[in-house]
Amino acid sequence: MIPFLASIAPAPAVPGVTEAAFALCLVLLLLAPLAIAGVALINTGLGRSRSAAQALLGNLAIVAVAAIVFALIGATFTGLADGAGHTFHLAGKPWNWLGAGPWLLGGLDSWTAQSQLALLFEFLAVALAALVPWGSGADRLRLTAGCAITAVLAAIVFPLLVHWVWAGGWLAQLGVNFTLGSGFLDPGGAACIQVLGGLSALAVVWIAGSRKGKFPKEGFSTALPGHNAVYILFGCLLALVGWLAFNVAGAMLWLHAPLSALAGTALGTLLAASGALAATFTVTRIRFGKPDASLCANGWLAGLVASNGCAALVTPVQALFIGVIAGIATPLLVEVLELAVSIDDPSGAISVHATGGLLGLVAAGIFAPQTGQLIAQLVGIGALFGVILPLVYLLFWVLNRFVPFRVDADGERIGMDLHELGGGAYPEFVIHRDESYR
Amino acid sequence: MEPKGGSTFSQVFVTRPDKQGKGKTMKYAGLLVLPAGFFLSIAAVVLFAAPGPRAGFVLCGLAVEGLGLVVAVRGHMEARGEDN
Repeated sequence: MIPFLASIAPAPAVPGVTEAAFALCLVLLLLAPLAIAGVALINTGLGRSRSAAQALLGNLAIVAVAAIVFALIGATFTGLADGAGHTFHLAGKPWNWLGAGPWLLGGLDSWTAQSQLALLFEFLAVALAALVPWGSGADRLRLTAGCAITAVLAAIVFPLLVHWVWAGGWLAQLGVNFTLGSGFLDPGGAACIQVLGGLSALAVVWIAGSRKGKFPKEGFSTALPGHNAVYILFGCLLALVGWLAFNVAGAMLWLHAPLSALAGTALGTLLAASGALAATFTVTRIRFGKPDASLCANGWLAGLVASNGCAALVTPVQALFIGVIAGIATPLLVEVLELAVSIDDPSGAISVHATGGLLGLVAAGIFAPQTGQLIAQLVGIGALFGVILPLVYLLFWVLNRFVPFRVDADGERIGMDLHELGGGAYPEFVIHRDESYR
Repeated sequence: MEPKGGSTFSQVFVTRPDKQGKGKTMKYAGLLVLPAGFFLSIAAVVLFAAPGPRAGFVLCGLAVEGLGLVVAVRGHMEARGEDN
């Protein structure tokens, strides 16, 4: 055995929670699934009408698979914030890299209140993270593949990252071991949910390829707009409630924020989204002459995503400023990825979730008062791109060999609803001929 | 063409010639560069105690990762149209 892979070391103790804080946090976590509902609606609305039922059923199946796999496997490797972890020693410092929690949620009743709430948070977080690549693979990703991708994320990648960040892993310990601020901070899930989801989306798009007819060998890309703006925009409103819940509960669980700080976190979340929407509205108004509903929804969501990283750590006005930057960057990035880089991402997940999350993480480092916090945030971002992205791509590449991601050409032509479910979402609608198949 | 149900070892692991190409190689090369940037950042944290050099080398690590990402994205662009 390699000596530095030797021990399972205990993590430092975390403060307990009062009964009032426990009740509040539990209520917030019961509202957090509205974020999942919102993203599911947005994913469905941004896809095509002939794949709508498959998209929404896929969202539901992904939530189910994520919960089951995380309960059976993932939670063990995530470990507990006040529990043990697999540690090796390098340069005289402990590097806690993998959790060592109980199998099959054993002894849940005897866990501390903090650990029980953290577990619930993680269950919701893994479901939300797994929905992100499903939106990017819309109209060509098979239902089975979506479930298999979710299983891989929930069993391997998410637990690894969450242990590093939320469960006393090496990123969380950067402050203690290397005097880098308070270690890597991700109070609302900007890294563990959003950037992970966005990078998984990138890997899915790279492996599954673009929708047929999206990028002709000559000329510009073909516009394949989402089929239901009402779903998309209503999904944004639902998402606001869920994001408020995630950010405030995250501040309580991961930063141990006092009750007096929670209203500021909620305000920061709302202002980040509002600033982002206003900015995207203005940018698309200037760019296209009229505001674009779909891009405005993306901007709103990018503001929410950015707030995951920083709403609990910055003032509301700073959150507004960060939201404005996210709102300006998102529509431009969506355009660049599609037109210049040939990435077919129907839900804009890479621009919204990956980039918005990164912005929030960097902002947390810039505005945090502790010395070295920005470096800690940058090291965390380095781990996301240097370890998580290649790992996700490798796992998905192998998975694609056994469970092909992409539907066959006939399935793509007739639509995922008919091909995979045998019936459409809108049986009374007349389906128009697809111009891109000329 | 994707392997269908009941895949044999060769169907699963042998690289398909129609998916070969410069683009794929570039993408894999870019993805291999990403961990190199990460290890550079970690080395900076371990080796330097002063904030200045530490921040500089962490940024260098991120720059290497950025380079890897650009190469991977370029590889994806080279393969444009293969799936259509």
